Amino acid sequence: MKMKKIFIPFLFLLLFSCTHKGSKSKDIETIEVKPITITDSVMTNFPGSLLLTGNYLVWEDPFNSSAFIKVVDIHTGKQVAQTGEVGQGPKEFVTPSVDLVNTDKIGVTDLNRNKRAVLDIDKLIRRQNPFTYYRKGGLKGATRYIEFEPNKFIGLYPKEQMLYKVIDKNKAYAFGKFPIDGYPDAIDRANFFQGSLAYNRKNEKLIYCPFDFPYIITYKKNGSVFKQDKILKIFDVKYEYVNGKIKFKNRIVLIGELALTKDYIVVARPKEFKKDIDINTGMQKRPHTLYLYDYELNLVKIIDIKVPIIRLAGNEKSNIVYAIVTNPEYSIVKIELP
Amino acid sequence: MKTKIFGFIAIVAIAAAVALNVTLSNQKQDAASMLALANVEALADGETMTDDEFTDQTDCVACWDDHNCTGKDGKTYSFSHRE
Repeated sequence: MKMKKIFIPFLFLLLFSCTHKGSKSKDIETIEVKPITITDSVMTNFPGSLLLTGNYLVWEDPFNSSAFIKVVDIHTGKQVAQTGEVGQGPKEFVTPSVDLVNTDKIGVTDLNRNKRAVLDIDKLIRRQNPFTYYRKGGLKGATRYIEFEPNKFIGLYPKEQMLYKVIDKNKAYAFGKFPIDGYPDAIDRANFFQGSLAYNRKNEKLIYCPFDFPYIITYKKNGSVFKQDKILKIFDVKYEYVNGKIKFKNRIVLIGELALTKDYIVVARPKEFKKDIDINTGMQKRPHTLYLYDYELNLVKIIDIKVPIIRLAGNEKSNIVYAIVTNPEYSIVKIELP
Repeated sequence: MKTKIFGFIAIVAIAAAVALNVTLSNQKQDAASMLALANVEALADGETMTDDEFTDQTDCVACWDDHNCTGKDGKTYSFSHRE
């Protein structure tokens, strides 16, 4: 009898605690925020990356062969410069990929050549040659890289045996297990573990979101070493290995865009992870909602901006993000996160 | 009288459905052309081909994510995923 008295309340407590944990995201109310349009004429067929650097937004027009980089003043919304030519010449790029390397540096990597460059926006605005060219060196094979300290880089290397490498001049060290059971082959690693990589210089946290798994993984810098801090699996992806290859049981399209702000890791993701195909484009519908996580990976807020989000940018200086949205034409908007 | 009204409504509904279908398929065509154009430009050789031809040649498919695909031709393409 005594045992029963103890056991029943304990059972209730156990059940209650399990239910509470599972329903956490449902408890968070979605807040509607009206975005402020800063540019309503993003003239492109396909907007690539959107990056925030200082007072400028840089957006990539990846298939524009005469100017694949566009620079917009965040205060006026006006395009102030453009650059970047596609071609075989020494100052051109065959297949450019544009990334934020540092808070003040835009990097251009040629996917098919041993060449990368750093773009100086001030020089571009002064109509001087804005690019400084480099060989890829230790960054060869990195699908994303960040200069976390002057001349010290961290890159994402999904084809290799470890996910990351820190490159410090001629030295490199690899680390980071793939967030999956078993060991996928190089082709599967390259296909399924490319993703967004961002670094907050203030709290020294590195954030990685793979495109094909709804996971957010954080690493904390300790000296020149990064240690895994937290992992949030928004839900478990079901997969198996068939003849050594990953086969998904429930394939869906997942997290699209990631931006860091002062207080939040901002993720553009749909309310429900399901195959939701746009009948016009035949592609996964873009989400309207931004999920705001703190740096401990607790979901804090859900923001609905009521228009599809294509690209997202922010930095650790404020809680403002910028986005390219379809409204219904491509436009750049500013979103002040509450 | 009721039959006539119903018939009229049915004709209007069918016409609206046909018009909507035409609009949607035009839009879909535009999107497909856009992706084909994007991939053709990515090949950087000026050759004209459709989106399907691009996929046949490379085994890569266009996607929204800033994802790279190394095709069976050995070249790497941006904004595409292995088929």
